[in-house]
Amino acid sequence: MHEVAIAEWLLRRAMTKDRAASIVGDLVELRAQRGAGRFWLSVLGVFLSLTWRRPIAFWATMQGFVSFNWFGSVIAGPLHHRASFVWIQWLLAIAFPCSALWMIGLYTSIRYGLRDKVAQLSLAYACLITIFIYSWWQPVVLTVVICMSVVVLLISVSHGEGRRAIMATIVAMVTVSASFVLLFHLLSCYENLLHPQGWGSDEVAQHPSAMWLFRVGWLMIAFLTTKCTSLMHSWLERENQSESEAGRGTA
Amino acid sequence: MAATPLGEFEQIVLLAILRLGDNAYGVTIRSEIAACTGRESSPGALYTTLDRMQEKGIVRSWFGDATPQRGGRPKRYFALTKAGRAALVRAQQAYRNMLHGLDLLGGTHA
Repeated sequence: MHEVAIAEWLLRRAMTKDRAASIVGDLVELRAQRGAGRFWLSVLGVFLSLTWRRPIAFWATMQGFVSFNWFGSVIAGPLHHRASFVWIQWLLAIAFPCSALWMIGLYTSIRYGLRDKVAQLSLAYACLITIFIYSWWQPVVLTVVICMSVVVLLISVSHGEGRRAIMATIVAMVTVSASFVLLFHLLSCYENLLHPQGWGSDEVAQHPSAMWLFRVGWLMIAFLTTKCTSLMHSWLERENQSESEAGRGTA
Repeated sequence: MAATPLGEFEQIVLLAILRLGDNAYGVTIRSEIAACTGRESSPGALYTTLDRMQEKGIVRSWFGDATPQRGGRPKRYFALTKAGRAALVRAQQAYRNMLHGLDLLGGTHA
């Protein structure tokens, strides 16, 4: 029975002890009919189907963080000569929540599917804000982006599930954006401590610890994003379920 | 709540659970699906679907007693919640509406 214990240990990496035991029990029943080969194929199939989304969703969340670099280069690059300093500061301030929305949107769309309300809402606003950052000086694009933002908002607030999805998205976005600001503040303090005269490629080569601090922060923000979004998503599911049951109770 | 429509496999699993009544757990659900549809569903797809439907409040589950033929491991039984039954009725009603007036199953559905 060692192989059954190994199978149960493997499945417990992906689910609770009780669920793993019941699934292994099911597969033990099937093993009597199908043999040990089919048993192991089924164990691996269950394990992979329950776990493949999480690492890919985490990786996608980390890639969403990279979007902040794109925004930074766009805002400080070709648009620089068009915008005033205050306007650039505003665009950079918008880039924080936009990157957070990309991270949340990528995570939820992979973890829960594209039909998920939080995924739809966060990806819709991430796309609209990205278009705004890239094309803010074009009046037509600006008008279309603002109108579509209002339309998406009105559609979302028109029903309870949409309103709760907005709440879940906002809480996750604010948490992730705040952690962005904190990371960049800590990084800037650390860089000033090491080299107050400013940083170039030579300083980066001389002080690799700053890059390591950034990488650790990047990982922590990705972890925080996945954790916070999962928690808000669970809350959303519970609330939707209670509303659905209450609605049927009063009907 | 604007409920998410059920997918085809979700409907098949829910119908199998309804047909099995008090004896709906992983093995019997798979067997019932195979017997009724001729479709061999993979355990991975089945358990992922069941977990997802439980998260959405469409099904509920509970653990039975441990049995020796399962190596002392309990069965996890499933049943539809009120929300699940309502979602299934809506989905089947949509199919019935689409079939209305068609002679697809050997008789016109009125």
